[in-house]
Amino acid sequence: MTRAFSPPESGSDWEPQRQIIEAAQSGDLEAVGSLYDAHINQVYRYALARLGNVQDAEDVAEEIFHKMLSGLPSYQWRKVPFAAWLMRISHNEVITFVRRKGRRGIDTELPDDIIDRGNNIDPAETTERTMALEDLRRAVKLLPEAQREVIILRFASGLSVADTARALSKNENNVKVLQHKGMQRLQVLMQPKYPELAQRQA
Amino acid sequence: MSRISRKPIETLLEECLQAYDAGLAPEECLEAFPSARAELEPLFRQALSLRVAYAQAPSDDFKREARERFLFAAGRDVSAAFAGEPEAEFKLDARRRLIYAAGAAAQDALRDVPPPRLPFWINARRRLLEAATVTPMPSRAPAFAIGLSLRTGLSAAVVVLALTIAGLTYIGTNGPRSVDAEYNALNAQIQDVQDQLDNGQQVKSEVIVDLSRRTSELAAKLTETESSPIAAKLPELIDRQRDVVAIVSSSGPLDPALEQATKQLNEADIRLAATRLDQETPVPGEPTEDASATEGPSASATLAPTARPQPVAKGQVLLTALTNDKTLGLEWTEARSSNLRLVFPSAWKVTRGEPGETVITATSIRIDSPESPPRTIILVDMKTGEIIALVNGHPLILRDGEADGKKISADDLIAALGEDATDTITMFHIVESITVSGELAP
Repeated sequence: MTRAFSPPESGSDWEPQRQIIEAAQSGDLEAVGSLYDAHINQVYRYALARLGNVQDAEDVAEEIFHKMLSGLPSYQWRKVPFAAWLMRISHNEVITFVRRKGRRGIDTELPDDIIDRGNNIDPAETTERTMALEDLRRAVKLLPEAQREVIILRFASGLSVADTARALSKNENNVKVLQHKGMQRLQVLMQPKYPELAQRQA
Repeated sequence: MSRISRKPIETLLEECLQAYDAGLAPEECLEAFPSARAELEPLFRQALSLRVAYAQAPSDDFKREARERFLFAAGRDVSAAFAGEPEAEFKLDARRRLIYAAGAAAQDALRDVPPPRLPFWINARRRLLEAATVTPMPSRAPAFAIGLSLRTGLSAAVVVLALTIAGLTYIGTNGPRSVDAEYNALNAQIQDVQDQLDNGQQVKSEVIVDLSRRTSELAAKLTETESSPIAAKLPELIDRQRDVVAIVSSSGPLDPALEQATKQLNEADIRLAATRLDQETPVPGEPTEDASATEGPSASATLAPTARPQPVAKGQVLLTALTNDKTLGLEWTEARSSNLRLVFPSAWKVTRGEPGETVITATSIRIDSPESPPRTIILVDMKTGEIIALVNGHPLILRDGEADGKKISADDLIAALGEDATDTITMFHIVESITVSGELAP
């Protein structure tokens, strides 16, 4: 029997996750595998957003799960939600990785599966949309560190405001403000190339 | 659907995103906040764009392969990697990752894990014995008597008398004292201290430190002497002193002197443990002198002192129960090939060969601890001498396959296995037992 779960969005969904984590802590390999399945995308997206390079993101994502494995026995459910704990490991691991190896260049091109996600069959419009998203990712890299971290955790890893706050050891209001400021700055950065954003705002 | 809201825009955006996640169309989400729509809409659309911009998932190949490696590290699928005949490329890759993971784990542990706890030291015999080496306390000269005589200018007779008294006092307090006498003195003084505490009296920390120091010294003496019944009694004295330290500590601020006392008591414990281990543990690999023991699967388990180990043909592994090795209170089995030897707990299972078989034709073996799934897996390549273990998901190179065959150090072992003392102790004994004779395949 394969157990699987999604990262919980609210407190009421935590119980299945809690059971899986406790099983993993007691050495249940199936549960360990479930944790991997549930969080690999989240971790990978975070690593990719921070490092901007698929190869680096894969290396770091794998390393993050090894770190998770080492830390799992000491993880305490009551102190911090699992996703926030894992993203804290991710945050530290990315910093360690960059310090150790530097960056191996940045891939800004989006893969085809993302481009197709808009269900847009007009090639020109699809290309335009793709370029806008690539520009948006470039713009995120220009944000101040704290704002960028919040934006990435919220929109790349899909963490809630509460979990983002836990992962970064900040309070929720602080996270909301950082997110808001980051998004305002993104609008400013994107405006010269995409003036319709400014028009919409007006 | 509309509502008047004075909430901050950050909160409105959050609510809007939640409504979207709940299944509403973007337009429906925005309609809920008409008064804030102008400000909210660009933020909301940008948030959705950000989600799409970062929606890139890892490739299926990476996910699958990383999952395999992850579970490999967690203790699964090791057999697929080593028990069969893995592809050379995979083996090299897995080895590189194992070494990397083990190194990283060790570094982390060195950073994060507090100094080793007692149980590990019980088994780190080499280090223990170094620690247990007694540094003689500098003897204090009976200076007070000499000073007394000079100051007072007493007659020669008085000086002689004073020196005699001082000498007797010195011998009584600092001179050589038998182990039994010192134990009895300590016992009585600790009892006095406990009585004082029971009566609500204060005990000076200097007294406690002095008692713990003498206890540690007594334990050190025991390591140098033949087995003494005091060795069995001393732990109780140590425990009583720990109680005293706990009571005194609880009644006031942190006292460095009490920390020193605790340290000295720990040292005493360590020294005693070393004494016990030396008395109980036969040196791994040495034939025992118990010629009457015959229950082992092979005659080599009960060799007479002059007998040579049973020769093992190339490509074979001989398993022998070591009936007299009771290290850590466990039964141990020896695995020996023509050029490599190690021991492991007899309750562990060798996955090659039939149950009970004592000679296995194989160039590599896998040994699993008895839990299901096994908490520890050891993979031994008898040809190259490479020995890899997975303990609680921690990959460890116990001995590398290089010509010089470096074994994992005690520091690295404890760094990797950290606080799980049982695994650390067992693994330490296994590592200690690894011996290589002759040349191994490169």
